Amino acid sequence: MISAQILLIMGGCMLAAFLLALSGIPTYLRRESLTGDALSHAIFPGVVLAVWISGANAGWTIYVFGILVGIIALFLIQTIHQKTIIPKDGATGIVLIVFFSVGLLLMGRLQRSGFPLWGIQHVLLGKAATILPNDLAVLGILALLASLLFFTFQKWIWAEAFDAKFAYHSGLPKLGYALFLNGWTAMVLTASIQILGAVLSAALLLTPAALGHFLSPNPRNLMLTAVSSAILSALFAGAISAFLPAMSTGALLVIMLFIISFPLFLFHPQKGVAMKWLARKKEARRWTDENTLKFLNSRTESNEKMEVSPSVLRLIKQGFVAQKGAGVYALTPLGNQKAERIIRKHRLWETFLHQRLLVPEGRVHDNAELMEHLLDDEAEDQLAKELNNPSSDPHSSPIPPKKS
Amino acid sequence: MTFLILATAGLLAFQAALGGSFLLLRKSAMLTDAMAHSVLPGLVIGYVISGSRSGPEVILFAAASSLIAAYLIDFLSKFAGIWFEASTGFVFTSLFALGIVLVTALGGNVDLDADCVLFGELLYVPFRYPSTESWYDSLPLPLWNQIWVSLAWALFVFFRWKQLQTWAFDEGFCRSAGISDGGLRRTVLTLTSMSIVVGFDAFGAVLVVGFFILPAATGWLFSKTWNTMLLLSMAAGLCSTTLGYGLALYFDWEPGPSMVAVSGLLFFAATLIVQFKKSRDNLRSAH
Repeated sequence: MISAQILLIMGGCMLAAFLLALSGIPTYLRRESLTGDALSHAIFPGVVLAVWISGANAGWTIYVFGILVGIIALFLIQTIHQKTIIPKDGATGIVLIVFFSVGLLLMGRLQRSGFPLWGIQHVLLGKAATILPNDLAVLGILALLASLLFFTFQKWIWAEAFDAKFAYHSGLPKLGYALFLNGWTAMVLTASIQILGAVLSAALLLTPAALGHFLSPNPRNLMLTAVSSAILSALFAGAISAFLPAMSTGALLVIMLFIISFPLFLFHPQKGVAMKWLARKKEARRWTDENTLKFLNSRTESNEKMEVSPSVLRLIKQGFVAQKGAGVYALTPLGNQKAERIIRKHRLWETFLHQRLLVPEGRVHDNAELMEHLLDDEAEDQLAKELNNPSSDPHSSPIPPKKS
Repeated sequence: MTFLILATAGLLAFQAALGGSFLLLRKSAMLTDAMAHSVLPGLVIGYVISGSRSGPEVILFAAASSLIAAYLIDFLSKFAGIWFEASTGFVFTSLFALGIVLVTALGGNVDLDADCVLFGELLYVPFRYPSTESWYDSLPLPLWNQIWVSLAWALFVFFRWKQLQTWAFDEGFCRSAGISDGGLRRTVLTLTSMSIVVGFDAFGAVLVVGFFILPAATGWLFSKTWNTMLLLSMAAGLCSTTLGYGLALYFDWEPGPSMVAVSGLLFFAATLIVQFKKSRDNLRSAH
């Protein structure tokens, strides 16, 4: 089942994924992710020109033209952004689209003159299935070079990414670094768009880095997450396309990356959007429940009928409130204890505000309404100790003692 | 035939000059790129359901998928703390990949292929008449689609002129003046997705973006007021479609890329003119 071609595709995808994920980290951290997308489209005319000049097996000319055209494109983006009122993203879009359309024009010319096109059509969509041992070798050399460069210069890369001014002051040449980084990105993209296509290459350049940065801003973890997520998705994509050879491996690779990263964006225990939302919701519920407990405790007439709220229902479930009759609810002993605990925190804080921070008596209540939910048990004990276990608050209401 | 092609391209240029101006001023130019790429999965699904390439289902699904992309980008960058440019790239490349997987999964059963995604099929526009046996048959289907979307744009801009003007230049002031900027943004995005879908049919995924960004940028370079910017953008758009098509006929180029390339040429010429004027003014004031 697993033929040599499948292994070739798998190896190519893994190498390309590793190469792009690693090369994309500095670009991503410079907040130039979309420049990667622009570059992957903009080098297209360079690739076509190279094929036009030196034939279907253009070899290294492709890289020369790719890098050259890429650098020209970036220079134009910079110039438009600096010299005119067009903002950076507009300039990026302009250069991307103009270069790409020129590439399409050139390609149309070539096509009409009956030139052997060696799969230029796949520059947008990619075609990993046609990968050759030669491509694998190129990718391997580039990947090796990328790791070497990355590990040699990683101090500078991180320094520039997190504090550019510091890096330039410490002797990193600003223009030289930008030129090298972008030239390198253009070269890597030239290699990968022949296999994965422009859009999918851009995806591999930015998604692993974004995922790494989302999970941890620590440089080492960021890099490890980025590279491993890229390689893992390449592995899965290769495996799937071994069974479904008609599927585009590059596209599967990007979808795998999406499947790995999107659920994390949503459901990461601390940072996921849904989890953060749930945590906020839970916190809001706790506040409401604590306020309900206080309200039930402070009622003078405990047989009063009341409407049942979701908060009361939750408290019944937890055993803090019991139903005494139709529409009559009262605190259980446990509930009473908990309510007194909240009142204790409230009054301790009021005392602290009044005695130590010299807040007038009439203005301590509102702040204590907030702090009663925020003080944890340890802070409560220390506050009581600090105030010498007071028995009444500034309004001379008694402070309930702590029962444990 | 030339007329039909030029009408299709010209109407797209009209819509895109409006949409592009708003989005460029609101610093969302790359959003059009993202939306144009994200059309693909919706297009394939609509195609599978309806079996036609420009039926209402296709437009509905494709527009929906590009809108989903726009909202997902906003959502991730606002709530998940992912940088806006990264979330833009993440969302549209993923949707594009999904589209490609769907296309390849359908295999040879679909006449949606690389060429159609790359170039669109502008030259086939005059041959694709609807077959309803009524007055509707008088124009090709893609042209009808362009007409309806253009009409929607015209109505929207006509009735929301003042609000749009405020919103495009100063979001903060717009909010403080009590104009619902969310509603305006949603409408602009919805109409933009419609334009992209009807444009995709004729021009392909990438070139559509050129219609949005380039003429609007050219117009912006020369204008100090809202009215001139819109008018100049439209003029630039119409000029480049006509000129681009003429050149394409003369030199036997692909018409779509040629229109966008001419549009780019116009932009670069405009930049040079503006720069030249600026340096001349500087010289004068120095004397």
